[in-house]
Amino acid sequence: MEKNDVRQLLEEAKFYFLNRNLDEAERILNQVVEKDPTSAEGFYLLGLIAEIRNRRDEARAYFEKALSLQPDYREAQEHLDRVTEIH
Amino acid sequence: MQFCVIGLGRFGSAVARTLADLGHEVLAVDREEEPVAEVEPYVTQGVVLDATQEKALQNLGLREFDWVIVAIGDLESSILITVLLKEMGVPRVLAKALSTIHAKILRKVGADRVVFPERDMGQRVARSLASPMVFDYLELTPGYSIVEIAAPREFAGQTLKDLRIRNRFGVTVIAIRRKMPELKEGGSSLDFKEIPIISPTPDEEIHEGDILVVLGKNEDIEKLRKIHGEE
Repeated sequence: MEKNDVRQLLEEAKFYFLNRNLDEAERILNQVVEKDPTSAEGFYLLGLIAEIRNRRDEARAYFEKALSLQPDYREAQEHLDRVTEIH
Repeated sequence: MQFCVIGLGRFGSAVARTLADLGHEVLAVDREEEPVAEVEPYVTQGVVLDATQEKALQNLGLREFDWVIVAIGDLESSILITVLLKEMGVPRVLAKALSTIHAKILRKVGADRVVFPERDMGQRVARSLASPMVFDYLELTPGYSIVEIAAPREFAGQTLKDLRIRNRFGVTVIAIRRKMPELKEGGSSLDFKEIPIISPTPDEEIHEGDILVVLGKNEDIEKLRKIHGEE
């Protein structure tokens, strides 16, 4: 039941993210990671939102969290590399 | 174009590989075997040779090359090689300098261009740490620059016309780098891509997270930077 809830919320957050409603996506994602603190995807998406907003430190913390939950998360690793590098 | 890179340390090998990636012919030279072996798969040809030996250097036929890059850290060797290359009639030589005095000598002995990778990177790092909301910086002429700066959050949702950026700050927005959310491969993963908006019209609306490419007087750019609370 709980798992299904989280999945549903995650889908909603993705919808808002793709429609560029970052505030709403973020609000729902915070619920996702609260209900399921092992959701690597939830943290990855929070990282993307922070990166879009140019908040590199925040983005980095989220990508690191996603990687600690799922060490082979390729996208999270790529974004982590990007936000920690100075170009 | 044809390039020769002499000295395959971190700087030289990055120059050699990037030129090769860009589709140019690259001859990569070092006196040690290991760095040559490492770069060789990516460039046109790798040669192990001591470039301070005039005869050996002559055999490379470098007069035909567009640029020869002297990427050697050792002061004496880099000066000697630059002298030899110019004596041989190499049209253009770019040399890496470690200090201003090194640069001065390199210019005196005929280097056509001198770079300071460590100083340049040091300046970049310093600017980036001091102004995290400024992403790139290019001085056009003393007093005027082009910078890439994050749009302050309160700009989001307003058009350039509403914001009266030119009147308020005296700077011109010449482009916007916008991050667009997207679905990646197969639709399973989310990401964003950056799209450039060149010469935006006054009706262009600023989105959250936009990076503004602005042109203006340094003191005017400074006013814009201060909105972020950066001192």
